[in-house]
Amino acid sequence: MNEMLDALFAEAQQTVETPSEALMARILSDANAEIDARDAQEVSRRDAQRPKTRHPLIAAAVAALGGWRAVAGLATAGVTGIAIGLGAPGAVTSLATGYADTTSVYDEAVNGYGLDDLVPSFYELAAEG
Amino acid sequence: MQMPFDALNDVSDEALLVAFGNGDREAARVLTYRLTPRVLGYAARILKDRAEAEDVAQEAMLRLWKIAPEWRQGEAKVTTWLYRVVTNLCTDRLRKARGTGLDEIAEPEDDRPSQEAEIMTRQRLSALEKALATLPDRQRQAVVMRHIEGLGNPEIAEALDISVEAVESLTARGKRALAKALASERERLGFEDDGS
Repeated sequence: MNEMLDALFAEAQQTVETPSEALMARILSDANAEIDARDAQEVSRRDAQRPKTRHPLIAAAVAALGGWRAVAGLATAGVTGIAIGLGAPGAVTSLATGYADTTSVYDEAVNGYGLDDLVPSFYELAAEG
Repeated sequence: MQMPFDALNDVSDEALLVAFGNGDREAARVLTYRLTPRVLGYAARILKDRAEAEDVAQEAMLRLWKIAPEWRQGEAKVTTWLYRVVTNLCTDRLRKARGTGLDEIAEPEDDRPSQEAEIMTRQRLSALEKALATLPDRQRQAVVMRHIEGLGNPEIAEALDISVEAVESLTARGKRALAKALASERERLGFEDDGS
């Protein structure tokens, strides 16, 4: 009985399933589509990793100012200026607005120096109106 | 289908798969021509339906393309991995088809006159297919892989995800059942009754 089975198996081994051209074409098409999909994924992954390019005008302005370090310094100075302005220490306000009279607290006796020490012609200008 | 002769024909399945994973389209072509007949043949013997077998072959190859970039070299043979995938795909389809009259097996087409030997061969193959169809799925898969596809027991064990001993048991029981199913057809199939 085993001989019969062996003979049948041997005959079955001889029969090779021949895939149709259409099936081969479908399988190859799947393979190529897979490569295309992977390539597309790779491109989008690289795009995501690439640093974002800035507007050329902004890049030129930053370069003209000496690069990002210099711009950072300028920004710090700017913020400090705003902080001083918002904080408005009395002395700065008075100096900036020229508020002063003889009874002012910004008297030599109090401050050690008078407004005309800083701006010698200030009172003359004020008198002229 | 004539397999094109070129330099890649000597390259192993695994090396070709890795090359495909790196975007080599030529490797895909060689793998397709080399593996599709085996995948299709096995699926056709298990499913007994050419169209279904073609679908399974395409699906199995698609899964191969998808796993290529992550293929871990040296872990499994490409063919063993494919037999495993095809087995699972066939099992799924057989389960779905069960209850909808799956066991209708087409008779060989005897309409055109041909030589006696050819008719006998077809009758024998048809008888073998019918007998195979009576086996439980796992037995059929093991017997086909062992005795028709020519795989070794360790490979079958890997493909079916069972032990080698279990494969031996499945193939032995499968062969006994086949012998029993074919016993009454010995003479019709041209085998001499030697009383064994």
